[in-house]
Amino acid sequence: MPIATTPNQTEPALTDVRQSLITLIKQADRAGANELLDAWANRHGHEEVFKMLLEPALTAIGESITGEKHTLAQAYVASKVAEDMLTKAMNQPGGNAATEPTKGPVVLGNAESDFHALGRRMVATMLRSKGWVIHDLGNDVPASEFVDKALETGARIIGVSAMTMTTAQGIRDVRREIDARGLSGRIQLAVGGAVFLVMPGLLEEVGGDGTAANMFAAPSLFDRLWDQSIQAEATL
Amino acid sequence: MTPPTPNPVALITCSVFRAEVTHLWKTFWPHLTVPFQSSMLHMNPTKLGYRLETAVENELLQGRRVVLVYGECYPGMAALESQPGVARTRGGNCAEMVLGRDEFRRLLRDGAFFLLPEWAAQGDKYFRHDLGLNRVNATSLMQDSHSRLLYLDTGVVPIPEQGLQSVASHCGLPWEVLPVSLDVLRTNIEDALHRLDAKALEAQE
Repeated sequence: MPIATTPNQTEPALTDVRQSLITLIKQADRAGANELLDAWANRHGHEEVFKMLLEPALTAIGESITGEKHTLAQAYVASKVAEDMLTKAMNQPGGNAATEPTKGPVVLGNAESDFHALGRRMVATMLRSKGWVIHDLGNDVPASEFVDKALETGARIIGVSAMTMTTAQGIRDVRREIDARGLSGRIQLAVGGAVFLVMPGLLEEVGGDGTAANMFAAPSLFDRLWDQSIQAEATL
Repeated sequence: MTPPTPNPVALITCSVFRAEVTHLWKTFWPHLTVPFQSSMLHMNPTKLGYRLETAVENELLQGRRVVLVYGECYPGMAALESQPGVARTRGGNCAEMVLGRDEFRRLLRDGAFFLLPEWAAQGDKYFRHDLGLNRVNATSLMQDSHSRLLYLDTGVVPIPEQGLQSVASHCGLPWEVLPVSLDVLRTNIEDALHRLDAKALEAQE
């Protein structure tokens, strides 16, 4: 993909590079996006890649892809590109500030009987790219296991994904488990999955504390819920 | 007093089961009406919901009760099946409806990605065109979650080997054939018919 340059610049303008990255991800061109990011990382380092390119690009894509055809491919490639960069940054000698965990921990998993892993994995990648420490319990997770893991790790947020109305009902059990152990407020319940996008009121019905429209919006949701947890604990 | 004869029933069926339900219908329920809706509507859940809701409404207006031979394929399904005169087969999706819950879960945990005849016959079209996943992305995505493609051979149509090979090649997964009986699907539909009758009785009381 050609990137515009101005006569006095030895490298393309940041906004042009960012736009090129957005275009490549929207074309579901993972290799092309990685090539562009690698070139930028070689010049500026991985921390700058996250801060100046990847995060703004992912935010812009998240704001724009809703309703477009092939959203799955675009979202998938966006998450894989982020994952690829995280892996490369972590493999740098001495590590990299961009990949050092600065938030969390949080627990993620799919509700009991739910096996739709893709959304959860993409959310996990987005959160990791923002510095969250993720304990991913996988698919088909019983309510008690979510809460056990949160207590074991000190997580303030449990994120549960469900694809359908039926499996979303399993989230009620997680809510009950949190409440029954006296952890309401201290542990926040984030919920997500396709069904929450189209069923107004389902978030409240299953007892969730918050949801995000897509993986790109997940980090800000988790920031908010983390703060809510701290506030709730302070008032206890 | 003789109870009124219940209204006739339409099995509104996803075309993914066209061959299977046609086979069962001829043998067991020739008196029922069986309209099919395209399985490709699953690519657009809003459209699927609209088409199903319209189809149900039309059948009810014509004095027929309805069994939906569907999984939980769009978010409004629970509301649709809760209407008087409507019931749905049990199971979240078509593979579970054919295999039963326990076997479905066991195979899924074992890494299976299920294919039924209609979708297998289309080859890689679904991944390439409908999802926009080229071979590299399809392979990565599928290998993230699955270890193999599992074709559920209901025995009513020839195994679409060319289509299966095309999907396997596009997704980078091997394919296997699992022969399955239609007994689970048949029992599932009959259970929905019984629940429909029970619903009618409840309404009369």
